[in-house]
Amino acid sequence: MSETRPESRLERFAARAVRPAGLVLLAVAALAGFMIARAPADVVQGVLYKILFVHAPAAFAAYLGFVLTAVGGALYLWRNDEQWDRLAAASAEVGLLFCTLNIVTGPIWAAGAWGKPWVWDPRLVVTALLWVTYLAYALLRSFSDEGPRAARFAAVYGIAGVLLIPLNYFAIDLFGGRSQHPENLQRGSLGVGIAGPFMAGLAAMLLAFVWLLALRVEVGGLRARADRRRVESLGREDLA
Amino acid sequence: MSYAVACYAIVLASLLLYAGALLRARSGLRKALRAERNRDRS
Repeated sequence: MSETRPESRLERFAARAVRPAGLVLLAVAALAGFMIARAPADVVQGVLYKILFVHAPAAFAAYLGFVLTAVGGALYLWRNDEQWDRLAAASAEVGLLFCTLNIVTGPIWAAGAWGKPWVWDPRLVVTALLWVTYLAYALLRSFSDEGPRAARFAAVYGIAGVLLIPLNYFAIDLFGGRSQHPENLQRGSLGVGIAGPFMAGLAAMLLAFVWLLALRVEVGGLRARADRRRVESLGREDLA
Repeated sequence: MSYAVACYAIVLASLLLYAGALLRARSGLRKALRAERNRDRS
């Protein structure tokens, strides 16, 4: 087996998926860019509303990342296999990137639409909480030793953190008319000529997530192999 | 107009920077593993 191949079956699958996923992403992103550029301007907001085509899909990609963090954590606790812990860490990192994009693009839209970038709205507050939760997860992982204890703690944290997703998604419904944030998208709620670019933007963003996750999982596997090799060579030096 | 352009520029730049960091890390790790294998063989 080549030494430059990643560590596990999951990571080898990710390594094989990187190139085809990247090619599909390029094609879909080009199509999405074309459709978004051609989407009609809104009567009230002009082109400002087109931020929706990246803002909402970034939130869906972040949700996917955090759900996979919980799934990876649960599989690690169940199977005690490090590849699932590495999947959880990779998903959290990529999910955090998309959550950051969501939390950055929202205030840019709000500055134009509401005249101020931030209001203490339930959806905004829970999104900030979600971001802080996974930022803490990422920091925890980067500062703690790699080992079963840290992995078990991270798994439990990742599973608990995912409970924030339904709270985030349904925050507007839960707090009724007190929310200033636009309502969740529903079938037929997008205006004429907007559903197509939105779906294309969503497809491009989710594919970007898949491509980055595959790449990150592959890097995680290579890093684990490099660490293992380092420990083995240190062991040999000690014996010599 | 400028808000939307700024938004798309930030998203694109962030994704490209992160992807670039991952690709660099992958290439570095592959190179290190290959060098180690060659050292073991010699």
